[in-house]
Amino acid sequence: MNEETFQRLCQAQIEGSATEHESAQLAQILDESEAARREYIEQMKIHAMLSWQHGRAHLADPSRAEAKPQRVRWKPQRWMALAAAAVILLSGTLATLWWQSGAYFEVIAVQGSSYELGEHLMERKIEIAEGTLSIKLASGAVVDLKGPAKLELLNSMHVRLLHGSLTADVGTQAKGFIVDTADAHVVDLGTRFGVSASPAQSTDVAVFEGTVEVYEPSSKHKAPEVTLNAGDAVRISKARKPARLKMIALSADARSLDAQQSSDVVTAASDNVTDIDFRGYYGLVRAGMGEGAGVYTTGHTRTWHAMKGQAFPKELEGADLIRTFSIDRYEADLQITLQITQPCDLYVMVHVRAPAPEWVQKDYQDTGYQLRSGPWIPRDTPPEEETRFYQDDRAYHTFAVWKRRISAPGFVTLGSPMNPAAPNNKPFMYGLAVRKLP
Amino acid sequence: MSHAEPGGLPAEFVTRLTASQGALYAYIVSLMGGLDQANDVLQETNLKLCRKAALYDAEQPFLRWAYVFARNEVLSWRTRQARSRLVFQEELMLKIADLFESVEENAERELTALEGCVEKLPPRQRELVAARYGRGEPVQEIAAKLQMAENAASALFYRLRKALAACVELTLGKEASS
Repeated sequence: MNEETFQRLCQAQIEGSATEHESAQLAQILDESEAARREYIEQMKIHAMLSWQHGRAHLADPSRAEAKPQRVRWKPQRWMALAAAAVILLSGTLATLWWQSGAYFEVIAVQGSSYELGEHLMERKIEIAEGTLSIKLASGAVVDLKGPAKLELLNSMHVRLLHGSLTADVGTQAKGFIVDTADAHVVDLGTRFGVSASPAQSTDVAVFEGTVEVYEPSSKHKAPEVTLNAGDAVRISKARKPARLKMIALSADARSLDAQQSSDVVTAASDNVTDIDFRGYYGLVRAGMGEGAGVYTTGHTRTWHAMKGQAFPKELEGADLIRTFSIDRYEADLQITLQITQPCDLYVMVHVRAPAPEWVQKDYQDTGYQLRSGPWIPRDTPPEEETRFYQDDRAYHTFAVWKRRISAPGFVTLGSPMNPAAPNNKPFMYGLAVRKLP
Repeated sequence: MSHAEPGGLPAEFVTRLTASQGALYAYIVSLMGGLDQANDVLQETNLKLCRKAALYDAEQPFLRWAYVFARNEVLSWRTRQARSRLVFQEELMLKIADLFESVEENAERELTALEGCVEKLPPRQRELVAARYGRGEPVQEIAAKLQMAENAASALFYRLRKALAACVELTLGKEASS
C-alpha cells in the first residue's frame, strides 16, 4: 500500500465521501501500521480542530450539556440556492424583477385566503387577513403564515415580518435564512422556528428544532444577543434585553406558534429557575393530549402512548397538554407554577420507577391509569429496570397518571420529579395535562 | 441551568471542561472516523463529566480523565449504530484511542497554536482554509473553482493539514523550551 493510496483513503474518510470498501481498506492499513495511525490521527485532529474553531462561536456552555449546541456541520451552499433561484428567474419573464426587491415562491398550502394552491408568484409583499398560507421560497425555506399577517419578501433568504406570526422550516438547504421584525434580526442556523411580531411592539421567537441567533435589529455584524436552541423562547421588545418566554401556545401538531390556540384553563406557566441563560419554554397544546402527543419541548421524539394492548385513557384524551422540558429533572428544588383560570382536573404523569414524590402523594390521587413514553435510547436506563419494555429495539417507560381536582381559579405549584426517599433513581421529568371540568 | 441555591459545578471544573472541548472533539472525531454525530457524542460526554464532576481530582490531568468518558461514550454510540455505519472495528478504535492518549498535550494551547499557524499561512492557503472550514465549501467545489482535479485539491488539503500539524508541534515545542 503506497503513501498516495493511504492519503487518498484518508482524505475520502475525512470528507465523508469514502465508500464502504474504501473505509475498510483504510481500516486495514491503520490496523497494520502504527505509523499510519499516527498520520491518520494527525489529519483527523487538525481537521476536527479547524472545524471546531469555525463552529465554536455557536457552541453552548459545555457545563450546560443538555442544551444542545449547534452541530458543527458544513454550511450548505447558499450561493447554490441563490444561483438556482437566479436560473429560474432569468429563464422566465420574471427576469426583469430579479434586481428589484421581492422573491419568487410557490404556494404549497393555503386555507382561507385568496392565494391558490400550486401558484408560482414573484411578490414583494404578502398580506393575509385570515387563514393560513404556506409558501416555499427558491432557497428551499418553507414559511407558514398565520393570518392576520403581513410579510415582506426581500429575497429567498431574507424576509421581514411586519406583523402576525410565521413558522420557518429552513431544513438544511437554507441555513442562514433571516427573519427581521421591528425588534429583532433572527438568523437561522438550519432549523424550524417561529416568530411572532405583535403590534404592541414586541417580537416572540421560539425554536422547535435546531438553533437560531437573535440579533438587535440592523446590527447584522455584531455578536448575537442570544443563541436559542430547540425548546427555547424569548420575547424581545424595544430597548429591552430578550427575556425568557416561559410558556408558549403551540399549534395542534406542536410544530408552530399559535397564539389563538391558547388554553382557556391554563394561562401561564412559570418556574423558579433563575439562570439568566436558561430560556426553556413550557409548550401548551390545546386539546393536544392523546396517542403520540409530545412529552417535552426538547427532543420531539419522546411521545405519549397507551400501555401495550390498551386504549389511550378516554379521560385524558383531548385534554390540554403542557409539554415540560426534561432538563429540569435533576433540580431538587424545582417549582413549576401554573395559573389556572377555571375549575379543572390537573394530571401529572409520574414515572413508576420510584414512589411518587411526596407533593404528588399528598395532593394528588392515583387514577390507576398508566401511560408509556418513548422511545428512549435503551442505554438511558439500567438493565435491571422492570418499568420499561422494548418494542422495535427501543425502550418505553411507564408513567402513572395522578390527578388533582382544582375547584377554584388560582395558582398551583408543582415540585421536583425527584423523590428524596429514592435518591438513586435517575428521575424522569413528569408530564402535565389539564382538563376543564364540564 | 442552576437555581438560586448553590450546588452547581465547581468553577475550576467548568474552566477545564470548557478549555478541553476542542481536544475532546478531536478525540471523538478520530475514534468515530468522521465529524458526523461527533457533536452528539461530545454532548453526552459533557453530560457524564458534569455528573461526575465531584469525582474529579484537580491534581490529575483533566484531559486524561475526560478521555475515559469520551471513549465510553463512543463505545456506547457504537452499540446504537448499524454495523455498516461503523468505520472501525472496536479493536482498531481502541488502538487509535491508546495512541491518541499517549501524546502529551495541552488542549487549549494546541487550539491557540493552530489559530496562530493558520494566520501565518500564505494568503492562497489561508483562503483554502477559509473556503473549506470557514464557509464550509466541499473540496469538489473548491477544486472546480481552482480548475483542478478533485484528487489534486484533496492532496492540497492533506498537505495543508500536515503543514499545520507540524507548525502546531513546533509552536508548542518552542513554548515548552522557552
